[in-house]
Amino acid sequence: MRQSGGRAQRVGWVVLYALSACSSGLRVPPESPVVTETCASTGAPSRAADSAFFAFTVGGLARDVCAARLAAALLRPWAAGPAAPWTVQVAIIDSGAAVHRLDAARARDALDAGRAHLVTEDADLIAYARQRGLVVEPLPWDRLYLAVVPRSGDTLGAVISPDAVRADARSVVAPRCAPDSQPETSGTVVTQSRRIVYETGDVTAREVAERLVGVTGDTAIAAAGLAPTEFAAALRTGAASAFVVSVASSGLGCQALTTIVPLAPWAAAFIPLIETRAHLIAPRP
Amino acid sequence: MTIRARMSLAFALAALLPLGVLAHGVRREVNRRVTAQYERRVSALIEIVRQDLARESATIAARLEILATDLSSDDRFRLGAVRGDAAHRRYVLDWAARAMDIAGLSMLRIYDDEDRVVSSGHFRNEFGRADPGLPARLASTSGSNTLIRVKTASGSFTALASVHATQVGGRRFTLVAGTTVDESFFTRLGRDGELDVSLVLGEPAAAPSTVLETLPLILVGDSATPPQQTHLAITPLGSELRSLRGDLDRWIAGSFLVAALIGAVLVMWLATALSRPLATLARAALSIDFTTPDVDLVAERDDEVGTLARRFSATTRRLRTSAARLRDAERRATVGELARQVNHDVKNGLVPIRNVLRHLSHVQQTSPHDLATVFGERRATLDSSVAYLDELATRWARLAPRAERKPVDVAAIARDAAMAARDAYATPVQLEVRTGLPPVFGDPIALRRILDNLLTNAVHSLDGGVVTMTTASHDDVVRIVIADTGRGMTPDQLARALAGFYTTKPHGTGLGLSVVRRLVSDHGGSVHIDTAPDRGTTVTVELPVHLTIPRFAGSGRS
Repeated sequence: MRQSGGRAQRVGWVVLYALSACSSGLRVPPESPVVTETCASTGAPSRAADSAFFAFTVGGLARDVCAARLAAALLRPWAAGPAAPWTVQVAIIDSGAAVHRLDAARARDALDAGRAHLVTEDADLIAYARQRGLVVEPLPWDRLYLAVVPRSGDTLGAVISPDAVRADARSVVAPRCAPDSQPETSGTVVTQSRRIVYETGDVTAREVAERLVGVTGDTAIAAAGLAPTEFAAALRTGAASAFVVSVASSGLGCQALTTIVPLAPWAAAFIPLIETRAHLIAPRP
Repeated sequence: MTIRARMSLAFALAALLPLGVLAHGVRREVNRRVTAQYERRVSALIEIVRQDLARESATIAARLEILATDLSSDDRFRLGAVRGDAAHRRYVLDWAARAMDIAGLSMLRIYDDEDRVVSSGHFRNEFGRADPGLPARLASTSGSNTLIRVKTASGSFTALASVHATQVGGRRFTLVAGTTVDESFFTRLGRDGELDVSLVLGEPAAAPSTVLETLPLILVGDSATPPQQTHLAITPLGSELRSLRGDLDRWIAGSFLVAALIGAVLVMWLATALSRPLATLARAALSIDFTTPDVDLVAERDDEVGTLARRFSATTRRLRTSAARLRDAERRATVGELARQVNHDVKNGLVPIRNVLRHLSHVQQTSPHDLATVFGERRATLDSSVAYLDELATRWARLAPRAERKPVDVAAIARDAAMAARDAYATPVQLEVRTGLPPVFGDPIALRRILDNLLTNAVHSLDGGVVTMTTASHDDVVRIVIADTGRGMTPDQLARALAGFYTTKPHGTGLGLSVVRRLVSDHGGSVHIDTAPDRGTTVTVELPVHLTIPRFAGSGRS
């Protein structure tokens, strides 16, 4: 990782962050998968109303763990759905994994049945599973929440707390990655409303945005959820005080962050806030 | 001014004006009483609002006390908030949300002894935020209705708040709870639309004059500013009162309009009922003259208009009678002229007779043996002249007027006439004479002629039928009815027969009915003829009785 003090035409520092796969020396959490493991999907997942399917290949890793990791990584935000925090049931079949979305009551019923593999961010469900003596294995930190702000001097990330979200979360020490090329800055920054916006349906993003509102001294600022299309449009024009954006942290390097920059060409900084992870709940062996 | 205009004006003055005055009086009195009752009701409602507000604050305080008791005995909260156990950190953060939902509150915060938010129910992620002095400011307003501005993630709202402090593990925690004060809260306080309740910042003196009552409140903000005086302004909307007044006005106006409409219809009907027959009378009066006096009005009404119509009809009948008399006088004058002409003709008819007699006298003196021969030669002349004169005498003798008036027994004359008719025509004539007929003042010869003419006409019209003559008295008149079962007459034949010189008989004079009509008219009576072809003829003669003469003893049926 290297420091860069160069300025773009209008924006300041762009702080880029990548998860464990970043080769630039990011702190690697102990739960991160080992390099020798192989776990990858072999195609795009198919989704229905409450079920989904994907095929995958695995090596050096248990099939159920790999399926759980891929379900958490590939099927969001679909996995969250209208319920929060989210829980899905993963069933291993010959060519891949079938995933079913569960609400809180059905998830507990599935646990009580004793043979289900669940992937969840529900801390209460995790505690319940531990009380039942089931196998609870944390999955890698696979989701990173960023604050996209128009000014490089924002210190929002300094005050965020993992307690602000109900999912299993941790604070992030932000690396500063200098992009190999200057980010696109030709976009027009519209008049910013006094809102911190997030994508509707992403409960963790909402909690992060509300925490940002809660700790700011500005009583006029508020959190607001936008539909995915509206959120993307607002992010492109910068029509807010800040945006809470989640990205997959697994396998995303500094080089890959250049694909995010064009989504917010006006942004001066991408401030990492927290990382979250899901847990696999499996039957007793 | 027309009758319709007069009646309309009379109706307006007699009915609408008093009705309008009554409506105005009723409206004013009802409004006064309803308004007084409404004001008493509003006063009661304002007192209820005051009690509701106090009850709401007391309810919040009571729930807050229960929550504080529960909090002080919550071990997980104690571990997380007092002991700093990270495993119970999230339990502490979510405690207020669960408690707020269970207690039915709109906001709940737990402050530590440094006035930092430990747990917030309405805005979870404001934990750690400091509100320096806020719990103390709220506590200082204890006993008053206190409002607080509450920040949330998406905005802010106002809550009716209460505060309660408790000790957990030797540390002081302050619970602040409240319910939302918004439009629905004001609507609920305002008894669902009867009162307008609004929150007004500042002193009540600045409230508009329509505000009936103000309830003092204290507004405490999140910042360090001191509590601010505010109040609830209560304004009676009066919608129910306005509705009641509107209904009353509509009913009064509706009743007035209905009365006016009914009155207008009645005026139109009465005016039409009066003016239409009067207009008919006026048109009839315009159409009457001596050449066309036959105007009859059908007056079936029993009121004054009917009486007027009947009198008008009576007048036209008298006029018709007078016109008939006039025409009869004219006809008699004409007959007199004809009589003179006949006199001349008679004299002319006598001339050949005189000449024949002179010739015969001369023959007797000069050649008596030729007298028979000459007489034979001239006899035809004598016979024709005598026949001619006899014919003239027969015709015109019937028109000779008689003027000898005295009380006459109509029954006796009727018997004689019936007997003569039976003898003359060998025809059955039935006679029915009512006993006790009063005498008629008149000419017995004329009366006999009347009956002879009518019986002759009746007998001549028969084709094997019968003639009936009936006498009776009614309302100071003697009625003689002669009915036959003969051929009858058409209306045109009847009119011509009454006019005179019209006959259907080979040797008739055509004067019978006209003579009868004149003679009856001379006696002050009337003739009514009911006839139709092939249905016979009924002639009714009515003669006024002679009132000063005692009634004759009755005779019987014959």
